[in-house]
Parts: sequence; structure tokens; C-alpha cells
Amino acid sequence: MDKVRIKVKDLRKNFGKKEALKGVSMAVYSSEIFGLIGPNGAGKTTLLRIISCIYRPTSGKVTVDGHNVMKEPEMVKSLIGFLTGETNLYHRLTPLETFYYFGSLFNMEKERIESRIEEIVSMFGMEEVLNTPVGHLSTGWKQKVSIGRAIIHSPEILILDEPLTGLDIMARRTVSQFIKKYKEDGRTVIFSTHVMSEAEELCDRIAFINDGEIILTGEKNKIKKENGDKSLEEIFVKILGGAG
Amino acid sequence: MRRGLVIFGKEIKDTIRDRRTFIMIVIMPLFLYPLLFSILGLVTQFEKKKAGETIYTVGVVEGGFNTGFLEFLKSQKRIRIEVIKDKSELGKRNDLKCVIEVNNHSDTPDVFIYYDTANEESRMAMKRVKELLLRYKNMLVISQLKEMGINEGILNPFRIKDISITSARRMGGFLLGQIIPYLLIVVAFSSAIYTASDIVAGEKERRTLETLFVTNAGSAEIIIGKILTIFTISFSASVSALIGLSITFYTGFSFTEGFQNAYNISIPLFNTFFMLLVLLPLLWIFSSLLFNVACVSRTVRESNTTSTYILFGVIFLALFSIIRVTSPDKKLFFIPVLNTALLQQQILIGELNRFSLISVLTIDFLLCIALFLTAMYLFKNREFLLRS
Repeated sequence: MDKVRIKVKDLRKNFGKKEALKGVSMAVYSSEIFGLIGPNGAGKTTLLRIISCIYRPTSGKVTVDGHNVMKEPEMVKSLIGFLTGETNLYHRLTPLETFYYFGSLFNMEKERIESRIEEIVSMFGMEEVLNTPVGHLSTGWKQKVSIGRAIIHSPEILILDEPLTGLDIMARRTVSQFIKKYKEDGRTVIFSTHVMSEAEELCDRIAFINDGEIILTGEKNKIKKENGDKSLEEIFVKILGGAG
Repeated sequence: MRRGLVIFGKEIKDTIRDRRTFIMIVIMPLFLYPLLFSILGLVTQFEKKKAGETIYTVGVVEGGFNTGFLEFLKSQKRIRIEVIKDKSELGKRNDLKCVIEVNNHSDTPDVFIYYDTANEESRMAMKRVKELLLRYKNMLVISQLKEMGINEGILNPFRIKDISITSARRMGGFLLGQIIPYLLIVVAFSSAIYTASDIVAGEKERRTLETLFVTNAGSAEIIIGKILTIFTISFSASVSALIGLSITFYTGFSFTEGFQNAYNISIPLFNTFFMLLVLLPLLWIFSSLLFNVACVSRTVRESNTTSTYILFGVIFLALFSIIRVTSPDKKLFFIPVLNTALLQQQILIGELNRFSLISVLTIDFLLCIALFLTAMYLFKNREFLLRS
């Protein structure tokens, strides 16, 4: 079994009287794409925001590479890259300025930022747009800049919250290819989606989440096999129907 | 704190690339307000000149007056006399600016001047006629005294002369103290509204704020970086306004031209600099307040609207300083915004005292702390901050 990178144990999160997460437990391993699948309002974003140190949990424990998100947020943040499909960029800054800005916020030295920018530019063939204000770029380029921003500090774990939502076909392709490539490099990707076909295409392991609870988790192919090779959508509906 | 400065640097770069901000901090204060005062000055001068040169038509109701009275009025250059039948013609004819009617039924005749208060020309004509009637009255008295062999000097046993001991600096401080603190405070607040809404509520709307939260920048660093940006914009607009207003007032292109000529207004450069210095704590309060408003707002629009309501309060407090230029009550120095305006007035007049300076700085310092702690509380409450 690969190394556990993210461990979530009995995680609860309340927003006032509303229970957004009701004792979630799961683990994400190295070199895998982990899909968090569920309808809107199921608790996916809340869970990912807690792992990313944006929210504090009400109770429970989350560790990233053994570091507690509550006690060592700086360490956890340096290990993860965070991106959402709806995330925007600073339109009056160029991609180069954007990378420098976020690199500096991750305490990177100037030389390290420069070498990392070179890698990102070569990864996406970004030379021609590097000094163009982001507001003047196409959606595809913007998405590449967003990815570049999220991985400027070479995070071992990439957390993507609905990364393909609202993207056009070219931008979706860019992100999908990037997710696969990231895993091939031995890194971990955890992403949420409510679109089952995205999970079918990309994930190694999945977790179905509904109403703040994980209702099923495991290897995607194994789950499908156990359910007569049905689609993830059919399996999800069946489980929910069974539960109801 | 290094990351706070990184955020500040980025925000400033991002903000000044926005044409709207450039207009708010440079064009408006440096050109628009001075232009407004210049136009006001030109209009005032034009109206004054026009009023002096205009010949007003004055009606005199027939009967009741003697020939000498009518001849005296007709000999005057800046009025045209027309004998009319009834005073009611005043409301019917546009060219008629006022009407004189003499009631001769007693030993001392009554002279009535009818005019329209709501009409500037009618009021001017009335004033002119009143002056002429007083002159005519004096002429009659003098001529009667002469007939009686009495020296006309009996009418003026002594002369009254008022001499102001006010120095040019104090006079300048008094006059400018009524305008400059108010304008500076309003410019400082209004110029920062857009930036504050954009870099806080705008970031929430564009979903870029959460990308900041996943970096190693701490809440305090983000808050300081952003408040410092709002502060810088507000300060730049204040300096632009001060430069623009100084040019306007000292070159005499404003409605204060008359005072400028009469009192030779002057404010030492040090006082101007010191006035700007005492404004700094208030600018930090404004920046923190606008930052907090933007934090609790869901959208840029909501933030702009709430900030505009607060602007009305700021205008009210600053406006109050205009009517309290000299010897303000000590209690007023404990009211934020107003206290800074009063302190600036004291600096302009050259009568700064230790009590006002200490009370203003203490109140401002406490407010800065309170607003910073509020900002920290809001920023730690991420669920509230990122609610949609």
C-alpha cells in the first residue's frame, strides 16, 4: 500500500446549527487521484477547505503528511496546492507577476521562484503570454495560469474543488491532462466533483459524500465491478435509493 | 511582516493600473475640486461686476412726492426712474425691479420700497434705492440746518473706525480653516471607498481571497497589506487635494479672491505639513473602517453602498467643524473625525494646544486598535468571510 498523505478522522463541521460534516473519516494515498463525489451541498467544499487550512474543524482530526492542519497550518500549506474551477485571477497582473506574487507568499527565494516559473512556462508553452495582463487572455490560458499559480511552490498534494466547473472544452482538456500528468509524477491529487463522468475518467479511488457523510469509499474499478460494471452515477443513485 | 509588504506591493500595483482609481486619487482632487472653486470664483466675480454695471428700472407711484425728490432720483446714473400709476405693476412687469411709494398723510411722510426678495436683481435695486434715499434724507437735513445757521458737523459728533488686529496668517487660517479640513476629510474618505471595496469584497466576489488563505501569509499580514493599500490611496488623494486647493487659493482663482486681496492670506508651509501629519491617524481609521465594511459585505456593490452611507456621517461630522472654527468646546475633541478637523483648524490659525493634540491622538489610537482587532476577528471567521 502507498503512503498515506491525507488522513481524515471523525471530522465534524458545524455552521451555526447546520451540520455540514457529520464525522467524516477517509484516507488519501500518494500517487493517486482521489475523487470526492457528491451533489451540491453535500459537504465537498467544506471538507477540502478544512484540509487546505481555510476553515477550522468543529471536531475531529486532519493530518497532511503527518502534520495536523490545526497545529501546523504553515507546514500543511506548503505541502498543498489549491485550485477551484471558479477561482479567478488578478486581471491587471501578468502571469509572470502572478507567479512572483504567490511564490513570495510561500516564502520562496527569488532564484527558486525564477527556476519554478521556467518549469511552468515550459510545461504549458506559456512564453508568448507571460507579460500579457491576465484580463486579456483566453479562458484556456487563464486556466493554465491558475494551475501555474497553484503549483508555483511545487506542492506534493493538489486539492482541486470542482476544477472543471464552468470551463470550456479546451480549458477542461488542459486541466484533465494536467491532473493525469501530476499523478504520473508521483504526486497526489484530490478533487471534488458532482459530475460522475469526470470521476470515471480521472480517478483511481473515490468517495461518495452525501449530506455531510461518506457513504462509500474505495477503488473505482473495484466498486464498479462489485456493482455489475454499472456507471458511477447509477451506483450513486442506487446507494442513495437503498439508504432512503 | 515581509509577506504583508508583498501583499501591499501587489495591491498598489494592481490598484494604480485601474484607471478609475487613478481618476479618484489624481484627477478628481488635483483638478476637479480646484476647477469647481475656480468656476465658483469666476461666477461670483461676474455676478458682482454685472450687479455694479446694471441699470435698474425703478417705478415711482405718482402723487405724494415733490418735484425735488423726483429730480434727485432721475439725476442718478445707475437707476432709470419711471412714474407709474400703481405699485401692483411690480408683479406684472419684468423690467421693473422695485417701486417707491410716498405716503404723505402725516407730518413725517413714509417712503415705501416694494421689491421681490426671491429676485436677486430686485433685491439689488432695493439696496441701491435705499442708499439713494438715505443720501437724499441727509441732503435735506443739511440744507435745513444751513437755513437755521447750524453747522452740519452736529450730525457727526464722532467717527467710528474698526481696526482688525488679526495677522495675515491668523486670518488666512480662519478662512481656510472653514474649508480645507472639511474638504480634506471628505476627499480622504470618498477616494478610499472604491479601493477598499475592490481589494476585499471584490476579491471575495472573484474568489481570489481563498487563494490567499492557502498561502503562508497570515491573517495579520493580509490585513496590514490591504489596509496599508487603502491608506496609501487615501493619503495620495489628500495630498493631491491639498496641492490642488493650495494652487487655487493662492493664485486667487477662487471665490476667496476678495479675502485674498483684503487680508493677504498666508499659511506657513510647516503648518500645511503638520496639518497633513495629524490627518494620518484619521486616514488609518478610515482605511480600517472601510476594510471592515468590505469584509462584512458579500459584493463590491454592497460594500460601496454601505460605505456611501458612512460617508454621509463623515460629511456631517466634518461639516460641523465649519461652524465651530474659533474656541470650540473641549468635549468636541473626543468626537472622531470632528476632532481632527478642529485640530487642523487650530494648526491653520496657529493656536494649537497640547490638550487637543493629545486627546485627538489618544482617541484615534484607540479607534485604530479597535478597528484592527475587529478586522482580525472578521478574518479569522472564514466561514462568515467566504459566505456566498
